[in-house]
Amino acid sequence: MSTKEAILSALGKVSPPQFGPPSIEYETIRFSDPVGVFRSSLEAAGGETVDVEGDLEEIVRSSFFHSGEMIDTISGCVTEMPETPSLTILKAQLGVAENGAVWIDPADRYPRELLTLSESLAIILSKKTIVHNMHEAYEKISFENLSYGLFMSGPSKTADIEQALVIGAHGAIRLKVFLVE
Amino acid sequence: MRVALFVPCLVNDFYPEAALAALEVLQRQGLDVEYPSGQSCCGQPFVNNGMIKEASEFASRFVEIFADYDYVVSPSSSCTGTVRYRYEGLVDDDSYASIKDRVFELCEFLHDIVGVDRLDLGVSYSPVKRIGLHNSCHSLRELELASASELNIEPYSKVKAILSIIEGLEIVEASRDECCGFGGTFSVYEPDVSAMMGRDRIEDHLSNGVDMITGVDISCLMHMEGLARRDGVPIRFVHVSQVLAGRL
Amino acid sequence: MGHAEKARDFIMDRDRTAWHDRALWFVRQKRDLAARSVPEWERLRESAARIKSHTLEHLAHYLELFEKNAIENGIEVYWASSAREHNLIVSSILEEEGATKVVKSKSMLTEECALNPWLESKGVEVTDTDLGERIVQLADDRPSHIVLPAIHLKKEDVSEIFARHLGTEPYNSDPKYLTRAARSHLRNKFLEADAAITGVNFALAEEGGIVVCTNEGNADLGSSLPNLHIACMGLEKVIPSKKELGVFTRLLARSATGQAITAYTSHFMKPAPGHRLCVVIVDNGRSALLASKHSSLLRCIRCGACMNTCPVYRRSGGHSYGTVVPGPIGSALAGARDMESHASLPSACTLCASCDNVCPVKIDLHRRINEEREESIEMDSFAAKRRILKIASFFMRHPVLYRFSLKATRVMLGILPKSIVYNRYNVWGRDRQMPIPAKKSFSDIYRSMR
Repeated sequence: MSTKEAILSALGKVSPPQFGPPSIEYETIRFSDPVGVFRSSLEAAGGETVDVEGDLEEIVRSSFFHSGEMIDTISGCVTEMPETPSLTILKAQLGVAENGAVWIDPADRYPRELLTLSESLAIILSKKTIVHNMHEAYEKISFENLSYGLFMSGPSKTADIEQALVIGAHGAIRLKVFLVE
Repeated sequence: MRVALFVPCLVNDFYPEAALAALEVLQRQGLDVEYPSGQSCCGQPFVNNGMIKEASEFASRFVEIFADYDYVVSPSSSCTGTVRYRYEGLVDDDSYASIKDRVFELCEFLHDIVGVDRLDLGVSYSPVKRIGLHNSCHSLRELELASASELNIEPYSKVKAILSIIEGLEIVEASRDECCGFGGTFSVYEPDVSAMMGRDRIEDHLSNGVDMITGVDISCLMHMEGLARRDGVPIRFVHVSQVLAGRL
Repeated sequence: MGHAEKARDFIMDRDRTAWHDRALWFVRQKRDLAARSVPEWERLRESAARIKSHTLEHLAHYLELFEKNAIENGIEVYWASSAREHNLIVSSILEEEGATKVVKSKSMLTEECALNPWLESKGVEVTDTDLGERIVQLADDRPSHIVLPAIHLKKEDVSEIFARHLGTEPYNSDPKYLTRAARSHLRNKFLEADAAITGVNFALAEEGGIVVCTNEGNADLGSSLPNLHIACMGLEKVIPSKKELGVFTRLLARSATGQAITAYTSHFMKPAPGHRLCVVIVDNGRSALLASKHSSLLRCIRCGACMNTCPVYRRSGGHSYGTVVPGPIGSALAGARDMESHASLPSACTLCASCDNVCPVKIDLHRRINEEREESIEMDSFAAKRRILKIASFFMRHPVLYRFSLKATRVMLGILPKSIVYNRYNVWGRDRQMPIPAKKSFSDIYRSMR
């Protein structure tokens, strides 16, 4: 008997359950101003939101105090990048009001490591895609062709040294979400 | 309605005044209260320590002694909790089904069965008496006499509701509804953690400027009193029944 | 040494214990705030408990479904009965790729299997990339909490460790400075690594992928650079589908640290082109636990809330448990799996049930711990306690004897000098004054009233 068979037999019958898992039958949190709540949730997570009126690229550049290459994953595919990218601009497909998270699916547009190697992240998000909570988010996102996707809520952080919150552990140190229509 | 008084071992032998006060308060409500003789330990120390055989013996005796009463009232939430939630499997199913809905802790009984509006205590304090209320773990998380701070529920307290009808009584609670550290045999088998927990709780209450602490479980009070007396902390410990009976 | 002895050592440093207690209570309070911000919080907990119970009831089905769908996605799935088998599988895969430098993000399972020492013996360099874990790794210490591994260390301790191992400024204990130093030190490790090992928070049966939650982004960075990603999971980590993630992702971080969600909630569904993604499903005693009366313990999603709320854990520290996972869940698991080695743990508890109330999957922790005492009381180390309780039981069932012994105690306490009463065998008396039996018991008084 293989290990798999031994384990499965120790766990009991493999027949499918008669009923599926219990579902949510009650009201889950909703907000009268999901965009506003998204803003404050992201702030609580160490990030920032910027309302976009006018030229997007200009606004993005002026939002980050540094010079240096800006890696643009929106206009075209990115295949090469420096070892320590300083600023990356990318699109998120969806935002979640209750926790300030955005759903990012790089697909084939850029290498995954850009999301954590880049010191600053400029994320473009359409206000219309902001949902209230995670139940809604998972309902909206299709995993059909998904290879790697993540919810990112604010920059990377840690409180491992005496509970002192430090922004910027291994991933982005700065994260701003640019809200467009 | 025939009411029986169940007096836990610690109360009977070390703090009889708490049982006397409980009896007084119940009788004042016009209830026919009996104290059946031959009652003994509810078996809690044995349940807590995993000695099921011994626990069953005490449990069987308990259901036998209290078989014919409409209600069994006890000035102890931990004993009440033991009967209500831990007798299953220790006694036969019928006995368990019969006893589990008839046992009440004192405040719980006064709140749920007598009713706050019909409660007659005839007690008032002047000048105003400021007392710390210690919510024991059994009262909070087993009997749910008040809302535990971990839960996202509407706050409530049956104990405070009862005490609030007494004029001249100011009830304050500790900043943490944390365990006092008695835990039965825990107090002697994990003495260092137990003592630290007890001292922390006393200090928490003291920071509210009280010189008296009350609660529904004598074991918590006995443990904290032992520590306070050792440390020379001038704080009195009285059971809630004594507060209700005006016997401070 | 059992828990009580180790706790005694911990508590000797009064100030430090008080600091440890306050730090963890603060985390508990953050959890409370987060819980109160979700009106349906208690219903979510109930849902999570039911989803886990349902999944555990049909675990074989969901695991097979997961394997089938994962393989379709190009993920390799391995099965390990024991810790040893798990370690062998991991090192074999590394050997296949000639990988000798591994970056590892937090996985309690790999701690349980003692993977690091095994890999090191095979000539593989393992770097724990979670900051807390890296700190204890450099210090040759062990984690004391499953979410906050270095909670027992003060920033001055970390400063000293980093000065010694990373060459940082001695006496600079600014957390931001230290974290930045760790960032650049670990960044090199990420870039040099030829394999990444991660844990698994949730394995999705329907979609055939895995979910890993971190705040630091180390699982993402680690797994995206090298070509090999090995994900290790206990078999209880599978859940039916992404729909259930809605419930768990709302409960996990709030319960753990009070955050609405971790900074990174990463879904690994298919390996990147040219990469290998290997999932190792581990039993190591879980199937036996599932068949026992303690099966509810398998619902655990490793949030650590029970540790933060436990008044005993806060005042004794994670190391006093002597287990990989400490605190209430750790005691319950250790007692259920190996009572002989961990008999003191189920008694390191006052049965206050605060852990039950914070557990996002509503494990009846204090009941499990209490029931485990039915086994621990039979251990050799408990022989004396067993005898004492049997004697107590005898006395309480013989009222005349009982009455007499109490009267005798009262008399003795009145006569004997303090030095005799408060002798070194009187454990109660170490910190407390003795309670005195009343002159007349309530039953005496009642009898004389009639």
